[in-house]
Amino acid sequence: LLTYAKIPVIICDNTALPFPDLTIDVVVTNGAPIDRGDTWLGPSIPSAEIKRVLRPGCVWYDNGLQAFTK
Amino acid sequence: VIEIFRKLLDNPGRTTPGILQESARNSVPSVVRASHLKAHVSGACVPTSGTYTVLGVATYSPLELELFDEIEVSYQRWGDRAEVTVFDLSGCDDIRDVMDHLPSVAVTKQTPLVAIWADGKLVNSQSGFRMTREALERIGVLK
Repeated sequence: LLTYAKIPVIICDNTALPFPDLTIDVVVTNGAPIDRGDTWLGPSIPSAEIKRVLRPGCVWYDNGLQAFTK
Repeated sequence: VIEIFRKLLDNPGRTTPGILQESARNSVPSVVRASHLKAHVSGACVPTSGTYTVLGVATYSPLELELFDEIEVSYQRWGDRAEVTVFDLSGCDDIRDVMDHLPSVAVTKQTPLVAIWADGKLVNSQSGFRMTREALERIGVLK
């Protein structure tokens, strides 16, 4: 679907998102560990990192629900 | 379908997901105690008779918590002939902890994980949502 829609996919370190502060309009996470540090399954996602990249007024959806608005 | 486990990750108050996940993780044991599932104890011996299932899920995943709900709803199908024990994969510090729950199983870094013993012999082990589901369907724990 992403290929069909020509949406670029970036594979990156989820603890250091390669985006400047306040540049992302929407963040979507689904079934991902948040703020758990390093787990045996890999690093969890720091919520501070998501909040860093979100633009003011923009939204983080977790598991399909609005979890945070900046 | 009841959603007792799944609802642990509902977020009407827009709690920060990390805090919500921690709350769900802390609540799972008491919800398990109130259900027909049994909490799996690390290092527990496998019974030498009957069908014995150990299922590990990541409790930060609503989809995986729904598995618990579906199994609970299906209790009439399996309650008299199988034992279903469960544990929280996200509560494991490292892969050795996981292996302590699943002896003789080749553990992968894919959740959920299930292992099934019949009369004390390991007859199936799977990882990942679809394969785990299929394994549980095969023994009638899920329909």
